[in-house]
Amino acid sequence: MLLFVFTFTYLSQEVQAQNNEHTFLLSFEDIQTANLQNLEEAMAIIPFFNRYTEQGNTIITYGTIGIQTIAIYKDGFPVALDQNINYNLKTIPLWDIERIEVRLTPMNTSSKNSSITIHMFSHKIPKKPIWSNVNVTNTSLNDLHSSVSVGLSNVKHSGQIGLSRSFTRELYDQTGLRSTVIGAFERYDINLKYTYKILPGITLHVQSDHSSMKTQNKGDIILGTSRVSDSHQDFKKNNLWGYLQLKASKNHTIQLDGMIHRFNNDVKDIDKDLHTGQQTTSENFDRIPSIGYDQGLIKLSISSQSKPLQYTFGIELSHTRDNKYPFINAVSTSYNDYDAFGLISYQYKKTVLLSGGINLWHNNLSGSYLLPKFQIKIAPKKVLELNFTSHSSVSYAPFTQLFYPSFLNNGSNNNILLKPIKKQVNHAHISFHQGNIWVNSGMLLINQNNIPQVGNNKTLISKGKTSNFTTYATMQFSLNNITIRPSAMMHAVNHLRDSGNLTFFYPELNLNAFIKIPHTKMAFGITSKFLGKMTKSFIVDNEIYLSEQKRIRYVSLRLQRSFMDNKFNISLGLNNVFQSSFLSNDIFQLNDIDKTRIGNQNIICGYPKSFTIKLSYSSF
Amino acid sequence: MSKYIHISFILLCLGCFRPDEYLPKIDSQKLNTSIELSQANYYIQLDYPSTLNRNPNLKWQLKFENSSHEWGIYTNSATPIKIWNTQLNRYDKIDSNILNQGIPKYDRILPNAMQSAIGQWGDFSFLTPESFKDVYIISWNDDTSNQYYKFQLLDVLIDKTYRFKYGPLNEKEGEISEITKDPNFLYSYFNLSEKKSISFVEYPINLWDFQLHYQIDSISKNSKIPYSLTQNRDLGLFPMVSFNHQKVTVYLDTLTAFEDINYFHAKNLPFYEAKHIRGVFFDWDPILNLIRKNPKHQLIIKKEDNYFAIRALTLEGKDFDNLSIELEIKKL
Repeated sequence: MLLFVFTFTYLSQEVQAQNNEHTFLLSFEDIQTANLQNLEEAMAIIPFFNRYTEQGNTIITYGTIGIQTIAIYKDGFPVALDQNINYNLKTIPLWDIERIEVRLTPMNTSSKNSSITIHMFSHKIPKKPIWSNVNVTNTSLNDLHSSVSVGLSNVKHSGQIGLSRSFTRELYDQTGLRSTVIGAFERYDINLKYTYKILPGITLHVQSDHSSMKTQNKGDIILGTSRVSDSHQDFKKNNLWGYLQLKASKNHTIQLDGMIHRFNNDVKDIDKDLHTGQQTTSENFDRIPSIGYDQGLIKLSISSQSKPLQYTFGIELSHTRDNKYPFINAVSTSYNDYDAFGLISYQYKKTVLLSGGINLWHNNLSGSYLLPKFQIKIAPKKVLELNFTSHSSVSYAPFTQLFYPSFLNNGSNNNILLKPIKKQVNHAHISFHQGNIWVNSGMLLINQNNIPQVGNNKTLISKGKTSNFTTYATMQFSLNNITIRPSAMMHAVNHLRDSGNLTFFYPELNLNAFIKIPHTKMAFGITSKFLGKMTKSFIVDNEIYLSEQKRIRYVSLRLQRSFMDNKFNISLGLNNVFQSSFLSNDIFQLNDIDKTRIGNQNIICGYPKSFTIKLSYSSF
Repeated sequence: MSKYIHISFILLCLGCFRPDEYLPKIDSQKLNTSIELSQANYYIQLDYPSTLNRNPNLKWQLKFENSSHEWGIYTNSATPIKIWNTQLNRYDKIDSNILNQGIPKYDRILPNAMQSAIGQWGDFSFLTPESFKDVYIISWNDDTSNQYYKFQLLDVLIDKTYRFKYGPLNEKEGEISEITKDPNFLYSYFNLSEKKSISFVEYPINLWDFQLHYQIDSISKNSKIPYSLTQNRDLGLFPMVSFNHQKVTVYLDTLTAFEDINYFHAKNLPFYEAKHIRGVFFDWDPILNLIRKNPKHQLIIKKEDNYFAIRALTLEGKDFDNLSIELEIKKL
């Protein structure tokens, strides 16, 4: 009876609207409905973001802001630390994730990539002596995803181990040839979680994620031969993190956090003769290079939750090192960060909450920075809450642009002295909460400076500027059997604030819903996202170009039936109902008075329409 | 229970990498070419094996390297041209008396000659017409008499133009001409007596990868290579393969059987940039004293990321006057 039936439906945590730190949410039900298996897939659905694949590279952006400058956390710890290392989000599985939140200008203690953050939260360990659950998902594209979790728990100890295998089929080129535009990939995961309540006030929590992923990109048959050149990637990740928490008093907590993360992505070209079966392997430095990094983080903080004054102070040290090429041109490919932070909140009666924070941050390559943040909430946690936040943060230039030779930077020379990208964010929003309805509407202005651009002598310099302005409105309506979350926004993006200064607008609509049909043990889910035509400006050799991306529509539907007191579920899904996989974007060159179409650019925005069947079983 | 196990097994087998396809053997291409002595140059394109013919225009004495990173001046190897370095740089002081000091010699182009026929070059940082470059004497026969010309390189302009002085031996003031590198052709050609550049000697570089033609050289120095006799007893007409060295690099494999040459073999070979190889594909039959194909010569050409193995499959004809060769071209 091992694999034929599955999962358990984790008790979906009801999100209490009034305690929301997030602006947008992808719930467990949304993840199931859209059949999201890894974070890269989720980024296509999460509000604000646009994800597509171009020439083998996956691009994820919010307007002018790349995912490299947006911190991604899992259970409060950064999954790829500084995010500037071209981390493959396919390697971050979602089978153990309960919800994903997007937070705008959160009042956090981090200085890097902290203006907009993405938080993944794994399922809490059930308070059961012993439990297990199994999931299997199969799609009409021949994808197969399976996971098994087992946990033990008592008063002091609780732990779980989860195993997963996920296979996603390749997507072939439009031409019908052998070449793939997205390679097939197979990922194995082992995730561990352990909590030890040493004493009533002392808790040790340790988590680790380990993944191994193989990707096979196929090439075309070389004309006149029986030979092909395929590209294989072998990714391995070991991420260990945890904290030791001491309740020093009723209101004071001291916490020591630590993280060690090591990953490698080995890329090999495999030349094969499909007649003889002979093959040989080589590393192709002209395409994607093999990469590997070690990252470490240690953080000590003390916080007080007393009223009306709350505070958090601490220090954070982190280190990033290239373990594949420790030296390039006799330069050590590593850097260290030292960060001292303080965050204070003061609430005056029930009318105003003032929060202020500052980070004194030093990087051994680029120097020291002082990063302030400030928030004022009027009528906090009332029916109507007004909130204004001003937030400063920094993001590193891509690691390749700091250290790697020109052929890995599109012909531009690296610059180890590139300044960090500085982000200044102003966010004003109003939220309304009453009963089962939570409405949040606001405006977000983001200015970025010091974006690496190619200088006159082909060397990268910190001179680019961009701006983003978004007006949004989001709502959550929750009843016992119904959860509906629509959101609408209008984005204004300016990719070339320092030169062309062109602003373009595009709309976005999202609708996520999950409805339990009374007395039928059935439920219906929908996730949908509509992105309007989007224009991006970019500059090459002092000429301005425009790329017009056509509209994108993602819609997924799911019907679920429960059996055995909700222990066993069968879900039938339909994914990517309207959207075709390929988009042909127009490229224009901007003249003094007009724009001239100079070609088009093919991008891949997802897999084709597919049917999904999911079986899940839980022991409780 | 077994039913569920089977279902589970089938489910798990669905999500796996697909095995590679099997392809039948791809036959190599055959290219028939008849080589008529001195009648035509045969330009061969490898991607879609095909031949272009062009009757050789021999009315030039010097050809100038057009590759952006190279500077070279060569004599016409298909006609007997002599060249001599006077080791003097005063152009106006050189006249026919110089011939008493020595006679011009035939320039010898080595099989993988990368150096120019006209001496080592210095830097080109001077602009005065009276340069410090050596004056060369170039001599050829124009069917009526022996011609003797002086030639002196002056400098290069903007890194892409040759500037040189030339003229009959007894003229004090020479002509000054310029030849700008043409990226569409491998060489630019010049006729000294007609004082003009010669066009349409070769096909544009994007139309060919190597060519079959002939070259005049010393018989005594190339005794093992088949040749055709010329009016000059010391000189023979040798079959030659010239490469489009801007696009291809080569390796001459004499150890591996043609059938055993594949991509995996070729990938690790040390390819080099060559301009000519003389005598490849041909051999003397020492008993019958006839030309025959050389079974040991497998020419491997690398063009970008593609590799081609070439051999002479059949050879018909007794001498170079009437020779037909079938080349087998295998894309690796």
